[in-house]
Amino acid sequence: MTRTLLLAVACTLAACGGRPEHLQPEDDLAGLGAALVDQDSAAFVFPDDLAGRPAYVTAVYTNCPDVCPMTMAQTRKVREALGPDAGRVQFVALSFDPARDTPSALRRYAASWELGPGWRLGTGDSTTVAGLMGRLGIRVEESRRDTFADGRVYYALSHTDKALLLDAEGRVVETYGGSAAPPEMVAEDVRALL
Amino acid sequence: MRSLALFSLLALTLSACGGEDAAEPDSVVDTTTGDDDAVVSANFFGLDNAYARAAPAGGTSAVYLDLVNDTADDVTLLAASTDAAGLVEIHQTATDEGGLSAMTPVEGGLDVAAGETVSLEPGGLHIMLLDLQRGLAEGDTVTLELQFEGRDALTVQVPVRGLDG
Repeated sequence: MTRTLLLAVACTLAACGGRPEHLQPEDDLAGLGAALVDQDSAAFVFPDDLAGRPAYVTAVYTNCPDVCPMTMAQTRKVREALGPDAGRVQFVALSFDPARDTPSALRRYAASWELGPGWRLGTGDSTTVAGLMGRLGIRVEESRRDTFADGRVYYALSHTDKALLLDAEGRVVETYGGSAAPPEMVAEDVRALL
Repeated sequence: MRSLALFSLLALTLSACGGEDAAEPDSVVDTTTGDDDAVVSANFFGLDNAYARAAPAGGTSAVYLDLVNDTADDVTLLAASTDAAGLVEIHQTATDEGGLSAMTPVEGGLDVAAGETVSLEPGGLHIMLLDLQRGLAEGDTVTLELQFEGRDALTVQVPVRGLDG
């Protein structure tokens, strides 16, 4: 009886590639090829250049006062929860506000969050970013626009609160609420991909 | 801790109202009991757990706090102001079934029913500071004035926390 159960478990794991059932590939992003730049103005292609290691991907904009800081804080907690394994994972925060989130703005944001190595903040031209967000299922809508007395314009964005876990082949295997993803749970999922 | 925060707030409130010439306060704070939960009498209205999030000059930030209403009357927070921001609004963040998070201004003021506490916290209600006139760093304070319907305004010193609160 025990042997039968072991065989069944072994067969299940083999069928799932050794991963838990909930971490099976949901969406293959191959061919997306979004040309982006990071906070150091280094060009990279999403998700191609992430291949080889799992990636935890969030979407934020640096002028966001409420939800995005929660997302960044949660992602830092995921990294902390991974402990020594964090070095085997990539953390990517994609901006959906390319007009304001230039590489230099992302560099300041990374510095203010004291992000260490292993973090990549991405932006790009507006067409590429819009296409990327659409492909990732992240809606972005301008929710208000103000013009201050000195002529400066401020706008805020409504956006989907979402984080994605990509395996080392660039396939989405799980999604979470970006600002509320339980760090220990995400870390457990990530470890299953290592 | 809460008694200290509330006591500080009361002191600030009295100061803001002009000291001895101020109207009779709605609360009595007895710090001699040593019991945090017992030091604030009934008929108190004030704030607790206030903090602002760090942000760069020209950017946006948010203030979070608890509005504590131990009085017998409903209270409505109408507006807030600070010289640290060009524009201050009371906002509500809500996430719909599709996962879209949106901030909307709270129209008509924020009601705090008699005997209730309304918490402004990340991902929900907050006082949004737009067009920051200076950078807010951890350890700074923001002087915030809250205006209420039919009550004296409260002026509080809000500490600034790091980005992750």
